[in-house]
Amino acid sequence: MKWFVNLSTRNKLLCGFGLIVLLLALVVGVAYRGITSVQGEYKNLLKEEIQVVANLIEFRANMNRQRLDMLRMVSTNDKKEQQKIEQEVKDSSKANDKILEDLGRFGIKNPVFIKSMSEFKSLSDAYWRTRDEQISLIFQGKTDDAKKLALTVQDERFEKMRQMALDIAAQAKQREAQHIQETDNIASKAITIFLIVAVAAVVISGLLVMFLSSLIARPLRDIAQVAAKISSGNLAVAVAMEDRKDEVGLLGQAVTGMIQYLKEMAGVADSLAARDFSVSVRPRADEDMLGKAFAMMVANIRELAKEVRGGVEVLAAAASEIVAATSQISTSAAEASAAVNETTATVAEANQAAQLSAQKAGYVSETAQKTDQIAQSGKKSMAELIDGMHQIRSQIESIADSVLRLSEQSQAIGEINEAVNDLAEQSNLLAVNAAIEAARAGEAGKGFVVVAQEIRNLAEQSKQATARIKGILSDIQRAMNAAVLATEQGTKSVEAGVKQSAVAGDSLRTLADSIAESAQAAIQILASTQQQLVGMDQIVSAMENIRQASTQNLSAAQQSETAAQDLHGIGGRLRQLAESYRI
Amino acid sequence: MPASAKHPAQNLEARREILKARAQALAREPKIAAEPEGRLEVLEFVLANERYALETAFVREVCALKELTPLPCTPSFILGIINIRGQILAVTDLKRFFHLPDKGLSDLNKVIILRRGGLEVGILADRVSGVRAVSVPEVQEPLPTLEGLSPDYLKGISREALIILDAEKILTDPRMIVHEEVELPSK
Repeated sequence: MKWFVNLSTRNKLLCGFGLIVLLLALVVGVAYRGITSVQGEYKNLLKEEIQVVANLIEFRANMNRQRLDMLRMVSTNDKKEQQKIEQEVKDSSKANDKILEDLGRFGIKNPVFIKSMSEFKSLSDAYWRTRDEQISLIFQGKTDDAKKLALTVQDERFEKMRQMALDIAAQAKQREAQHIQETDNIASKAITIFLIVAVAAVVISGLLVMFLSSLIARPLRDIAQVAAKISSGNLAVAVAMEDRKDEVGLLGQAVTGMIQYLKEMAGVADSLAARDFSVSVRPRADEDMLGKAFAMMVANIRELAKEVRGGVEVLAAAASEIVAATSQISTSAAEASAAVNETTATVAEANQAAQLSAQKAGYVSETAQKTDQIAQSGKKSMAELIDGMHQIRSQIESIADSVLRLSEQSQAIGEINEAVNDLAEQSNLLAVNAAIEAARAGEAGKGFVVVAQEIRNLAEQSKQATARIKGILSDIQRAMNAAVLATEQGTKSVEAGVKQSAVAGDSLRTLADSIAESAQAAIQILASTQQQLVGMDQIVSAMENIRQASTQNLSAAQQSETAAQDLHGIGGRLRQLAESYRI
Repeated sequence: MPASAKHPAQNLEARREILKARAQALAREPKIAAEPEGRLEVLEFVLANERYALETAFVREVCALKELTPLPCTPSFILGIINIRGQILAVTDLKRFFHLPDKGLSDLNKVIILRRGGLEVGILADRVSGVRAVSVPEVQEPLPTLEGLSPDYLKGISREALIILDAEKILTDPRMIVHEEVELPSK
């Protein structure tokens, strides 16, 4: 039994399954033999006996038909009909010949059947010959002879043939029943063998399963339980197994090695956990991932511990420095907070100043707008003034025209006066002439002398009047000249005035534009100061925020100071911890 | 007149006074009529600011000087000729005739036409004052010292310092008959 245990699992399985396959082949062979023998019996039955019976029945039907045809042939005289019937008879004879041939082929094995078949054949041949004789008799018109033959020889022969056919069919039926009986026997035998073999196979398979299970599955289950304990971290286990050389034995050995390896690694980890980083791990193979990883880890941890020790030194020193720095920051934050408080107060004052300047800017803007309105009205007045100046100029011009016309008219008056003076002169002369004429007339002309004298006086008065008119006219003309000069000067002055007013209007317009611009600027200044005010408010709130922030800063600085103190303490503790490592 | 319009009563009174004064002036009787004998009717005229007089008996008429046509080849006192209503008359300047010096401005725009018999001559005058009566007894003899003026052509000087010229003598003066031949410049 030892050799089977040491057999590899593949060979064990091959052995077990080979046994089962042998049993199965036995069962299949038994079943095949039974079924093939049953199949042969049935083939015989179907091919021979039933075929024989069917053929004989058909043969008999054809015989009956021929007999009837012969009778019809005898009874009729019509040649055509007779020929037709003859053709039918010949056809059925051929069919019967073929049946006989088939039947002859069947009965090779059975000698009884062959003998009865040869008898039947010779009888049927005799019947065919007589029938051919009958047909020739009928064609010769000897129907009576034919009838006679039919009723005697042919009838006998027919009866005999029928009897023989029945016998043969009975024989065939008998053989048929015999075959069926044989088949039943074979089948029952095969079933019995089959059952016996099957029961044996089942029993052997169950035994095999139990054996293999005890040999393979149980040790595997034990190993699996050990592996489960290992997977839950329990390494204080061992595989209890006799020395085996199959796969199960190998598995047990491997598990034992694995437990040993893991125990070794656990020892390394234990020493690491005890802060002993001086252990060395040697990997078992190139593929020893855990061993290599442990080796690398130990090296890394050693490196790390060194670095940690250096870092902790640095950290402790830095913590001391941080403590110093945070205390400085704390004092600085306190100073900054005080400064921010002062700045907040200053900003509040600045805000008040900005509000004042915003009010002033509003006042200035209003004033500038009023000034702008005044300037606009001044501009309008200036335009009206320029219009007035233009009107004055046109009126002065019309006055100059009038004076000129007046001068011309006074000239005309002077001319008229001259004419009147001339007339007076002539009147004077006429008066003198009249006086001369009167003197010449002597006493008679005395009265006329007086008249002439008076006329002369009138002429004299006229002359005086004209002289006065002339004087007045010269006065008028002098005055006129003065007026002409004055109007010319006036025109010039007005012209200058128009120019001056235009210049003044331009100046005023420029002034008004400047004022409008300054008003605009004042509005912009107002807007700017408003914005500035808003900005100042924002600055005030911002300063308030800054103040709060600085207060918070102060408290934060104090907190960070205490935190730095804590850090310093932690640095000291870390240093102690790092010094406890063994590298 | 705005003043007369304001005071129509005063205006009416003033007008009435003027009319009254005129009536009195006209109602005055001439003095000459009082002494008809020894009375000389003269035509008084002014020449170079001197008052002269001519007897009206020799005066045909007085007229204004118009369209004087200078006449060549005549003595210098003959200024030219004029056309009086179709009659051609010579015009004489007495100042040159009497060799009087030219003193002051003179209009010389009046012509006094003298007539004696068939001779008629125009004399230039500045101004014709009119016809007046001069009482002969009051006429004084001309002073021989009278500047430039030959006493032959004077009748006398009236009380009003009027120089009365002797028209007859002037007209009959041989210088008035002009017969002058001028030698034409030889060819």
